[in-house]
Amino acid sequence: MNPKEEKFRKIVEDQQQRIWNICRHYSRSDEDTQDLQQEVLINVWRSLDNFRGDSALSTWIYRIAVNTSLNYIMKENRRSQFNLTLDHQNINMLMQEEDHEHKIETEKKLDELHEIINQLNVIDKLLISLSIEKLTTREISDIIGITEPNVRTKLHRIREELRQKIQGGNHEK
Amino acid sequence: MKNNNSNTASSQPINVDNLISRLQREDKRNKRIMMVMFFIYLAFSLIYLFMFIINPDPSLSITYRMAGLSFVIAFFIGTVFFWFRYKNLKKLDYTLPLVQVLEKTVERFRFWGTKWIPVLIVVLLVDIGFTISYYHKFEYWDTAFWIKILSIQALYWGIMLAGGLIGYIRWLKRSKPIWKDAKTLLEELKN
Repeated sequence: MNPKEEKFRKIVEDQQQRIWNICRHYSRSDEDTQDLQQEVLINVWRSLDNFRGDSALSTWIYRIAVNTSLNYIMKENRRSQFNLTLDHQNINMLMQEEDHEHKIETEKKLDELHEIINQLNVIDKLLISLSIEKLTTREISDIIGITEPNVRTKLHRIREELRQKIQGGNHEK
Repeated sequence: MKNNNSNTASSQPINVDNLISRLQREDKRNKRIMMVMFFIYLAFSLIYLFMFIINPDPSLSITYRMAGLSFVIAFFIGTVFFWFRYKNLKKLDYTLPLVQVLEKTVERFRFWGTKWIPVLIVVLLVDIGFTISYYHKFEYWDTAFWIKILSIQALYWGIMLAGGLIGYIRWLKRSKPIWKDAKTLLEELKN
């Protein structure tokens, strides 16, 4: 087995769940997700010779996954297909709710929140998808290419917007 | 539209052996295509150059040879241009940060840009070659020199315009949505 093949096998073994997590947001079904995951892996293979370790391997993989997925929805003209599906744990992490009462309230409005989130623009949804993968602002900034303060500001603005809408229940259906 | 993927779904098992052998096969095939294309173009360029230098048909007038030279240079520039364009398309770098990928996408899918200048040179060179070689075919026309030239130009640029129009329609249908999407995403990111 040559070194490239060995490296690739290790990446597939260690990172496939991460890749899957990103890809599933951009696809309609598990079959679509699988196709997209395959495409990401093809791009990983093609780029493997250029990986110099300037960034962490996981960040590098996320970059490829995000770029491939966005390219996929743009090429297929499927921007509306980018839908986030979150669970209770994700919601609490996203909203950073410390107040127990707010936490319960937010969880109760999970469906409503889903709808509000999926009305956000693609970039905001992308930031949320990376945030719920427990990536730090530094990692998100490396993947997207904007500054850390900018990532923090954007995430803060999105959270505030979501919080206001979920608490006020004033989003337009 | 709601995503019907399960949030907690685990990645489906991947047949790595199959994937690797497919990728290696594809790598080999691409390398072979690149090499074959390169040698075909190189061989044609050398043959044309050789023919121009030794001129095997002494009956060919200098105007015909000039027309031939215009076509050879156009062919050579076209070859180099499409070679680089093909290579750039192949090495689309997905490992760059999203902002850079989007900037490159906007640039790649733009309808008109400085990158097309070599194509314009090719079109002009072919025009020169076309005008020189077809001028004599209009000799039965009892008209002034400029009328003949203008007629050839009208015919040539008419064909080019039709080609350009087809290209533009194709761009509107296939590339513009991607270009527009990439531009919108960039704006959303920079806001």
